Amino acid sequence: MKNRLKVLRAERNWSQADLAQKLEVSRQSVNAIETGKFDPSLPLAFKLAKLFETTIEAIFFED
Amino acid sequence: MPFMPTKEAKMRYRRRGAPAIVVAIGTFFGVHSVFHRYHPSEPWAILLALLQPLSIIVLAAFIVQFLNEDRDEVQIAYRRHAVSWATAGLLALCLIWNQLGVYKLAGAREVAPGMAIPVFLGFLIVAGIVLKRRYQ
Repeated sequence: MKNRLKVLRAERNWSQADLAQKLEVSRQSVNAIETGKFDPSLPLAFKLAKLFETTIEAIFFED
Repeated sequence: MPFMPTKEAKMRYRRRGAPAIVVAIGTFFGVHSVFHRYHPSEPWAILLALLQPLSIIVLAAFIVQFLNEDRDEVQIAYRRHAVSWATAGLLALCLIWNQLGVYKLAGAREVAPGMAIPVFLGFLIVAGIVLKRRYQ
């Protein structure tokens, strides 16, 4: 699954570490999700959507 | 070690899991010692023989719980993956060693059951290092 996390993060000038802190996960985990190595669970996807004030579909989409 | 939980997760777990792990390891080596010293007869021998694998199952359950204590789901998935490979590695090694022993090939000697723990941890470290590339 692809995602727009990098773009959304860049728009807010957040580093991976900043996003990791807001999500309460490690920076490595943010990197794994951002690069599509790991698909987050629904609760984490909702958390991301809430954080970026958008919908899950606007962040994650099929290949 | 790359797959270990965060310091906070370790502290949360220690309070609940550490005493049970001590009991499981104590049972494992205690049973081995009783077999070695007293050579118990059948009813006790069967009971003791069941206790030993049970202590390993309990220990494995505690290791998985310990690794899952972290709230970071990527790290949890990574550790679960590493534990699966370590279990598979240990099982494969046991099967190979058993085959060599049954057919008396390659001079396979009897190995103390306690060796399962360091071998499992060895596989876990290797799996953790190899899988780190995939998750990070």
